[in-house]
Amino acid sequence: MANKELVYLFPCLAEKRKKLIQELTKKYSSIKVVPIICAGRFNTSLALKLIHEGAKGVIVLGCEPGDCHYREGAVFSERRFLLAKHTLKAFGLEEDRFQALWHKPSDVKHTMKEVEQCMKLLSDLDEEGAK
Amino acid sequence: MKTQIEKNIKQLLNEMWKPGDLALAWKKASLPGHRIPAFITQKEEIQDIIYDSFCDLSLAKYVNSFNRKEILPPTFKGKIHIVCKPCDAKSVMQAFADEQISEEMINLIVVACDGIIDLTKIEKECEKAIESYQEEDYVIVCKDIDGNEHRFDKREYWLRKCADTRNCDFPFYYGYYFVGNEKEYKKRIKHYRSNWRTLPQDTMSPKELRNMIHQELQRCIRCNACRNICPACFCSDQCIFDKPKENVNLLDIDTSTENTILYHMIRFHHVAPNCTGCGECERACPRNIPLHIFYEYFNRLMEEEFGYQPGKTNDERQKLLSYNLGEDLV
Repeated sequence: MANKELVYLFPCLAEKRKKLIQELTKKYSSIKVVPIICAGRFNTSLALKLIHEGAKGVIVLGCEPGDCHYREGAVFSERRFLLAKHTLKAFGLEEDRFQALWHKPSDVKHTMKEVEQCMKLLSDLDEEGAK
Repeated sequence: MKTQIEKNIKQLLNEMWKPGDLALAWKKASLPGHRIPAFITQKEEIQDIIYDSFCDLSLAKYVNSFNRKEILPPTFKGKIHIVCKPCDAKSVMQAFADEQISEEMINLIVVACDGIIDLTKIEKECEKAIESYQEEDYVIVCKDIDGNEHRFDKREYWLRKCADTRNCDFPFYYGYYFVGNEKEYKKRIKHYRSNWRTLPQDTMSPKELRNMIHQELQRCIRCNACRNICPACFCSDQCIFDKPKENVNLLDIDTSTENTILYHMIRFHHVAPNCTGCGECERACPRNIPLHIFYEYFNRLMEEEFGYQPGKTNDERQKLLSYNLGEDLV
């Protein structure tokens, strides 16, 4: 069962992102990190389930297309994520609750900024929902 | 009343028939106005075939199971002749594209369909049980048990998919046998072809939509009929709805509304890339849930965002499974 206050973060190849994850968990107590092997291997049904059951949001951290360790993983997932977003829309859920971020693992500053933007967007969504 | 098309189908099958073949078509059921699939293994059985506006069943679902040899009759050693309406033929094409069956095994016989009648709509109009149906051009005449006659204009009682000819657009370049006047058929579907319908997703706010979906899917009893009839659902042994415990525990077995919504969410999300919009899920649903609001949304999405239509070709891999270097991502 999804926790209603949590944002689920799925970073790929989590060892490369150790520093980033440390900083993020220090800053936000509402982030729950679930490491995965590759963003291409992420089952989008899981995101649908989490958001449907009331999680605040789901963020997938993947490598830029071309940078992927498994070469094509990110490419396939990009299309699949678009489909998942539309599935949320078709069933009356906010499509912005599912976010995918693409970046270089070493670029911690830039990633931090993007995750912060995501968190702000998610909290805005909650306020709209309350109205 | 025997239609010309029905005669032509029989004639064509009689000409092509070789011992050991299998043919799939429709035959009469015990209930009036209902048609069931006919598996023909002997030449003499070809006489039983029936074709009229009541053949609402899609035979494309069986194509997916023919790749398992044990399902075929032991005498089978030739070809499978499948009689299809154009909309079902699209599902067969998608099965070719998804490599569910080799094209050498199948012989497509496409019928110039003139719209199929939605029996549930007619049964709703007549208060008493109906004894017999008859078709006269565009008029359906039915008699109920008291002997009263009811007349219906066929064009007002079409299935939802037949009311706009978007689904009738079979890829005509492919090798097939066409029964009926092909030129006239093409002209007719061009004339009627309409734009996408407006869906609740376009007009309602997310909250309204969620309430509406909640109300409709409350009736769902998770009988899996929509999954079993779907020509695009072919993970026969590995379906997560059959073995919820062995996979990641995505879905519980209980039928609370929250769970059924998630069931349909996962199913439509999974089937979207090869859904041809044949509408079989909605027809098979015993609780009359309007599933078109979902599959039509995904059909439109596939065409507008991904730029491809499922069932249009027999060799194009679906967009979520293929990528060529240099291609646009989305």
